Amino acid sequence: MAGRLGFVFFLARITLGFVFVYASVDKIFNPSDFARVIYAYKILPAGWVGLVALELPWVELAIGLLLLVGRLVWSSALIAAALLLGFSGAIGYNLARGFNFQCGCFSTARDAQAVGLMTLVRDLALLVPVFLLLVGGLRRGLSRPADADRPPRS
Amino acid sequence: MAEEPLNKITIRAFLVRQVLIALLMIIAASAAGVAMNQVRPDRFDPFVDWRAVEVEAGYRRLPEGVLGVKFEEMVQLYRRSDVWLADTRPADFYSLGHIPGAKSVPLSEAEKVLPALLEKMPRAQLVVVYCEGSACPDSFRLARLMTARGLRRVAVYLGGIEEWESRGMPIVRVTGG
Repeated sequence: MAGRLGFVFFLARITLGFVFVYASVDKIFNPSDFARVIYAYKILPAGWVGLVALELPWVELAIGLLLLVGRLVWSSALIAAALLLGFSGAIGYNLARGFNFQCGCFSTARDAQAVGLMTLVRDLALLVPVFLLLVGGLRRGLSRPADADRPPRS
Repeated sequence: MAEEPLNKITIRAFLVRQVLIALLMIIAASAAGVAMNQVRPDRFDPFVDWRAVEVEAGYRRLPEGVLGVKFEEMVQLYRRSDVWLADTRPADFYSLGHIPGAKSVPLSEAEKVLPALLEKMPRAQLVVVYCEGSACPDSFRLARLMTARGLRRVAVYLGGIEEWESRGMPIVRVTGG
C-alpha cells in the first residue's frame, strides 16, 4: 500500500515538474512575445507587464526543476498552487467577460491555441497533483520535520 | 501509526518555514530572469509601459495600404465631419462606450453590412477604424476588408478605445433600450 502511494506521489511530482519546465522554455526564449500575451490579458497594469514577463518563466523553470529532482518539493508545490490558481483566475475572468485571447500557457507564438473552457479545466486539473504533494508533504513534514523538503514517499 | 499529536505550533513552524523558502525561491528565480534580460541582445526595459510598446509594434504590422493614426492625430480627426469612424468591437462593447461619432461595425457582421455601407461611400473617403486597443486584431481585419473593397484611405487608430479612455478623452454610452 505504502509503495503504491509512493508511486502516486512520484508520478504527481514528475508530471508537475515536467509541465512547468516545458511551460517555461518558450517564454524564457521569447520574453517580449510573452509580455505581449500578458498584456493582452488586460489584467496587469501596463507598467508591470514587462517585469512579470521576465520573471514568471524563471519561477516556473525553478519549481519545475526542483520538482523533477525532488528538492524543496513542498515549497515548489506551494508556488505551483499559487501560480495555477492565478492562471485559472485570469483565464476564467477573461472567459467570463467574453475576451478572445491567447493563452500563452505553453507557447507565445501568435498562432498558438486560443483559450477555451478546456484550458481552464486543464489548469484546474493540474491542481490535483499539487494538492497531493502539499497534503502528503505536510503529513510527512509534521511527523519528521527534517524530511519536509524531501519528496513524500509514504 | 506512531505519529505524535500535531499541535498548532508545529504546523505554524512548518508553514512559516516553507513559505519563507518559497519566497526566497521566487526572489532568486525572478532575479535570474531580470539578470538574463540584461545580457540578451533583444533586452527590454522591465518597467516599460507595455501599451506604448504594443502601439509602436502595431505600426510595423499595419496591412499594406492601411495607414496608422496616433493619439494626437486622432484627437484632431474625431472632430472632423468628413472622417468616417468605425468601432469594430462587438455591439455590446460599443454600447458601453465608444469614441464620439463612431459607427458600430462589429467585425463578425462586417461581411454582411459592408456592401451596403460602401455603396454610398466615395472611394477616397477617409475611414478610421479602431477596436479595444493595440492588442486586438479586429481593426486590422476590418481595414483590410475595406481596402479590398476599393476604399483608398483607410486608417487604424492603434491605441483603440483603451488609450482613448486612459487619456481622459470623451466617450459616448448608449443608454436605455
